[in-house]
Amino acid sequence: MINKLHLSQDKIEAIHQATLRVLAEVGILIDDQASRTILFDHGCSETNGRLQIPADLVENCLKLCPSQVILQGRDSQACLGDGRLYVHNLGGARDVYDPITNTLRPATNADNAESARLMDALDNVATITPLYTPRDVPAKKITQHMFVETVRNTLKPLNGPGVHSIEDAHEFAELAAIIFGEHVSITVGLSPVSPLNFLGHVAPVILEIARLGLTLGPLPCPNVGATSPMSLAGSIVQQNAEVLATIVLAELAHPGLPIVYNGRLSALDMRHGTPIWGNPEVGMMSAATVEIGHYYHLPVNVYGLAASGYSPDIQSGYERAINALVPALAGADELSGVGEMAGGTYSCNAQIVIDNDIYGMVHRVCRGFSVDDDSLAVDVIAHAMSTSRNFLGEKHTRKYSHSGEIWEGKLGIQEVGWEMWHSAGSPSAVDRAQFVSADILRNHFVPPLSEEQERELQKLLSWK
Amino acid sequence: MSEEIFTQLTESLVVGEPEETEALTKEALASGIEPLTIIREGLMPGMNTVGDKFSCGEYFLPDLIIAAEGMKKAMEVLEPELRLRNQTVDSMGTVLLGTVKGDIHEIGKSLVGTMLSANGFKVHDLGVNVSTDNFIQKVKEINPDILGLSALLTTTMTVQHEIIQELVKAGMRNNVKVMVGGAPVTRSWSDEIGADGYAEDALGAVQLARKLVGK
Repeated sequence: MINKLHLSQDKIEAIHQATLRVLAEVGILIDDQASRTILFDHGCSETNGRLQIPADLVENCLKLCPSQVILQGRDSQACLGDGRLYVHNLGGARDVYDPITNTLRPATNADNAESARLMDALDNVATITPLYTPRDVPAKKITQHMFVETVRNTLKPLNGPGVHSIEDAHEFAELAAIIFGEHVSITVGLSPVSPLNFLGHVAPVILEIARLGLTLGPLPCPNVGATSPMSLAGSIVQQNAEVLATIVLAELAHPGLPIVYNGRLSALDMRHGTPIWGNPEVGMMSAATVEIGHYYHLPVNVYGLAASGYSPDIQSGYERAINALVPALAGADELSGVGEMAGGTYSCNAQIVIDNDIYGMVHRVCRGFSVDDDSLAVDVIAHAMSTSRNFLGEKHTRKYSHSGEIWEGKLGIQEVGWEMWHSAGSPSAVDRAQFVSADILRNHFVPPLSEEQERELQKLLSWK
Repeated sequence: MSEEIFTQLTESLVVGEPEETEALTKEALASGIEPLTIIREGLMPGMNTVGDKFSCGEYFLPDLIIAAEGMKKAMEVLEPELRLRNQTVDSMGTVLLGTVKGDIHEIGKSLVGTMLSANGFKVHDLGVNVSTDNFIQKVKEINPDILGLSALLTTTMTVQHEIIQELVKAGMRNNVKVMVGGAPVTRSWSDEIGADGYAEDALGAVQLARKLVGK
């Protein structure tokens, strides 16, 4: 079978050209006066109540974006675009799922603290996003409370929140400065509403993010067949148009502003009218999004783990694994979804630990294996054949065991036969994951923020 | 002649050609057929067939929505004629719909609106980012049977609660049934904020609306 993973150069070029036509001929909905003035000053025009963006302006703005983006943490940083795959968790889940009682409860900010501390200890979660939308903090400051509680519990690099108002963006910049100092390098997400809608808060928030110099992650979430065309190619074109229009406005306001090219394409269940995340098209569209973003030399963040299942069962397992692997193989810089359940509406610690293992396998596949004189092992085969006729005692075997040639997950297979498994109470992957997460939470602690930082943050959080 | 045009009208809804439904409706009127007869003999059989095909899994949502568009176009032609004759089509009830303040997501709410219209409800859609005041004002003005509040974000669903509290303050809570919807909305949220119900998809919303108006 031929390699099916990659979009050919001519298909990428066709998607790019179709996108330029959408921007130049159809245009975007935008009502913010300041944004419109900037766009008109740079050659945009208006017909049919929409603002058209000429192709050369799009191409010029794309050239201004850096090809790497730094994400800051308290003790480390990630460089998106350095060729490695970084993984982050779901953001903003509403509820916490209990795998033992099979029930949901509303999330609190303590759940953000606990989940951040758990992920801080898990090797394959590289960057962290506030996982839950808590119900026990004032609604007006919810984004700030989520972020602060998360950063208190991890030293890993962070993804900033999605922002919905100028005040949100402004306050977020202030609190990030308290934590990271004056030169903050952290992403904030901003969602134009598909199709091609930059009305209301959308355009002013893009300008404010640009003014503040924060890294911008345009985050349109088109839904195939509902808010974008039913053909996958058409949806990829429209999403691309929405991202590129955001980039044009941001780069005109702040040339050189760092951008992460985000893709969040999902499908609609045409029988019920609800979005579906577990279908294979999600992984396919994510992979295509990676290739489009790389065509523009931008780091790309797309859905990874994505499933429709309502519990951490086999359906959720196969859906999320396929949807994470496909964009990873396409070269994604950052993949999301750790802890995602039921389309991102809830999460639980066991799912987080399971996802850490799925990404362990994905990383292993992406790493491949070396083919050189040492690994081709002709001498080792010769040696074994003339001695014990097995390889367990070879130094070569020992060396490769320690270098990770064969992957070993956190959950693994602890029982080595039916009898041992059965007498251990027939534990499922979820049972094991519960055990691992409880063990981590008993033993893993994160150094607190300084007293000075806490005082400043308290001031900001209590300020009305 | 009339038998043939009824068949054509029905067929235009079933295959999803709204412009044809509109043209055939005009043609039927021009040939002297009564509006209520056009509805009963031509349009309703079409909508019922589409509904049946959807129920048995042969049709998808776009089939329903395109058929509803045809029905809407036909009704726009027929309504002035019905008024002239002082006739009305039985309505299931009036629904006021909108997405709450701070939220500009449209599709879910619009889909619910379309499905309610297709099932005989009269729908007033206030659009997106609707202020709480505007909701309260409109409830006073049109006195709907049902108020539908949509919110897609975990950060905006709290506004649904705010609106219900305002209805209580204005002494209007008992005049209208409130249904809430949107991706983050659950039954427990609906119960907690004192709404009259929620549904997980647009078809569920139709069933709920029927239940709320007692039909």
